[in-house]
Amino acid sequence: MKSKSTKKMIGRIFLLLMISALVLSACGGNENNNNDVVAQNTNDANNENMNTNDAADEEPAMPEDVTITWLMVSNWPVADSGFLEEFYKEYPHITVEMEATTINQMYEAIQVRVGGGASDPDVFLVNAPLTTGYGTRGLLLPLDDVFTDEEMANYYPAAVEIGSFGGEFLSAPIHTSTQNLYYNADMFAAAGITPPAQDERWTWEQITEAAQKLTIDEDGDGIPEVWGFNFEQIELFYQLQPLPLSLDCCQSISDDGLTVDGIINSESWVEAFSWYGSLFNELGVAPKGAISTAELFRSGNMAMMLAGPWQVNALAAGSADFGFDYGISLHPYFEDGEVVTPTSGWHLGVNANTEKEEAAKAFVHWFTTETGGKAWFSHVRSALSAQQSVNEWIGTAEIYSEAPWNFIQVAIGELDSNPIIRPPVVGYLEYTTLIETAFADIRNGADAQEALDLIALRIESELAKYAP
Amino acid sequence: MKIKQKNLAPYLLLLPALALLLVFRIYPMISTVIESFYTNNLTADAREFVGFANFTRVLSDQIFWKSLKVTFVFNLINIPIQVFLALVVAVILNSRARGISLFRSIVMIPIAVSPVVSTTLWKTMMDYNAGVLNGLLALVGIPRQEFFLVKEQALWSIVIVTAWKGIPYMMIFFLAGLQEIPVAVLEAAKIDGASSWQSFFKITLPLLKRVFAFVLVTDTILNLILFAPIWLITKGGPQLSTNLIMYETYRRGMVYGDLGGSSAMLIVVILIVAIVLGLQFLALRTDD
Repeated sequence: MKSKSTKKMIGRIFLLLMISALVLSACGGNENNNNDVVAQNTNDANNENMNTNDAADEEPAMPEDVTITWLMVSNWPVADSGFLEEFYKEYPHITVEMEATTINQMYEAIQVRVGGGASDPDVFLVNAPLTTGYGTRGLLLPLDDVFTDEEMANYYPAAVEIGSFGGEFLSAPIHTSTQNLYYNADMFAAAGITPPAQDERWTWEQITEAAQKLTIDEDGDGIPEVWGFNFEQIELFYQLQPLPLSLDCCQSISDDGLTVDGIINSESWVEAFSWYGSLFNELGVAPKGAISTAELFRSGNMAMMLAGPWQVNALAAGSADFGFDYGISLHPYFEDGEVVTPTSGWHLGVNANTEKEEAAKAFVHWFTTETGGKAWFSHVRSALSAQQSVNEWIGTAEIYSEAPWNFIQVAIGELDSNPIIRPPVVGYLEYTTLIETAFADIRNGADAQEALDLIALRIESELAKYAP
Repeated sequence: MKIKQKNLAPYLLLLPALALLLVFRIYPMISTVIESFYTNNLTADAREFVGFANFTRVLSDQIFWKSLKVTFVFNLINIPIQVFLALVVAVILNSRARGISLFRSIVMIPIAVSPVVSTTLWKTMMDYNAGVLNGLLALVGIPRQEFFLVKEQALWSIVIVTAWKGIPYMMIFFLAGLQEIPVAVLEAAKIDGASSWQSFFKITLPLLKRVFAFVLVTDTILNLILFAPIWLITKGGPQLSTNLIMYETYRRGMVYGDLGGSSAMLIVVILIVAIVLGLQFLALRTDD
């Protein structure tokens, strides 16, 4: 009998353990399920100070401590920059926890988590043209009640336009951007070529000619030690859209956002991307494969690159070690075409399902208005502000008066050079991620016409679901 | 009452496993079937029953058929290679040669490596610029290969990546099957004057028929739903040359939010897999 009751007891304990494990596994799954939390900025000191205040009853009620999650990209040097500490000065009760990931993984996380109804992340980065798609899916909380009329008027109009959908302001712009030509002045001197001046705009034909002269394969193994030219974001639509539009401005998709056949595989697009492909293949002035253009430039293995103003950060950080002089000039264009430059940038949006709406909106408001804007450009110094007043401040700020920081002035001037936004259509995510695969294929040697024809078919296949 | 309690215990013990099965297997399957009859869920309020519209959209989509074609081509290349080499390795490992146990351990290593890790390693090794494989090729005077970068080589490169893990895995089953064959039968054949080849083709292979059926079915399922290498390396490119159907399904649903289309596609794929497996079972039917 004793043995039977012991067995029964063991059986019950086992059953209890199994049920506990099941319940725990069911409950514990969603907590912080992104593995890429690379930085976590806590506001413990402030929180501790607040928590130890036992005399709270006698003072005005303090806001409750709250932690919000911000889904962002891992290559932004925000951690330890001092930027969030500026926010904490004004909002000591809010702690921002950063979830950093790659751009494509961030898109997927937004789609899967926010699209699936999760309440976190509370705030996430919005690639500006994706506002329409996110708005259509109801992923973003309207921000119209967050900003004053004056604050809205301070944004560049294009930033407000691209951040709005269905009559609501859904994503607030952190910054806008453009691209400039950066060059290694020493390499130009060695090759006997006069580089373009800061206010000079070369054609792509001039770039091609110079790149061929600047490409050096000293040991003759077919792999140059110095490459002539490359794009910083080698196959990103943002960076490459101006190529075909320089030849035939300015359509990248049909007006209803559903068709691309006859547009992205038209003569001008094929011509532009045949030239692009030739850089990596026939001309051999740019490297194939996944090699960072910016790193090649900084290490003295790339003579020219078309890059964003954020590169000034890296140039400033390492200028003493480079051992070469460098310069900046304006965005090139095709000789028979017109000047077209890329623009727009990252916005911030609040998850429509957040349970911390007030704190999330407070963070977005602070970040995307003047105080946060200036803090961003003091600590992180990335791209250009989408706020006109902040860019005016950059124009007068002492830290931006010397090289290479004064390059930012050249970039700000470029914001008026026929800036073209990416098409704010509902299927932008499909459009851009797919067309970028075609750019990669062309770079790796595929025929431009064939690759663009195929991708036109592929994109329309995805966009078909949006047809009314 | 006692009898009832006694009968209940096994079911209670099974409950956790059944609950997990329900949550992670049965529910997603039912959910997929339901989702395939609804619109694309673009907004929370716009979900609408559309009957077979998602199926007709998917079946009239050229990309779906291209993806299906790539999947079949991949399987037609990959499965015979994996099964054949797995059998060859199993036969070698079944021998009583000196040091064979060490060789067995080495061959088993890929099984212990997770698919994500092995895929990442292969991606690094086959990198166009910095991959060790191109370094080795350069040593013997062969020019750098583009592997995952061009459509002519990408699918074959994926075959190599998957075979590295697939061959040892399938080999285990062949090895178990070989070791089940009674030595007496083989020795009797030898005494009767059968050569090694005759013994292999007339005795060993027929006795491995059931193992063959299992390996073929398992390999077919694993390769028809192959996902990790595509997701981690090629994302379906270049020029859709590695756009296997599971990746296409994932991308539609999880990346582009077309849950209805993705679910419909998945059901079509499941039906195709079922037909393929049915044909395999028929072809390898054993009488016992």
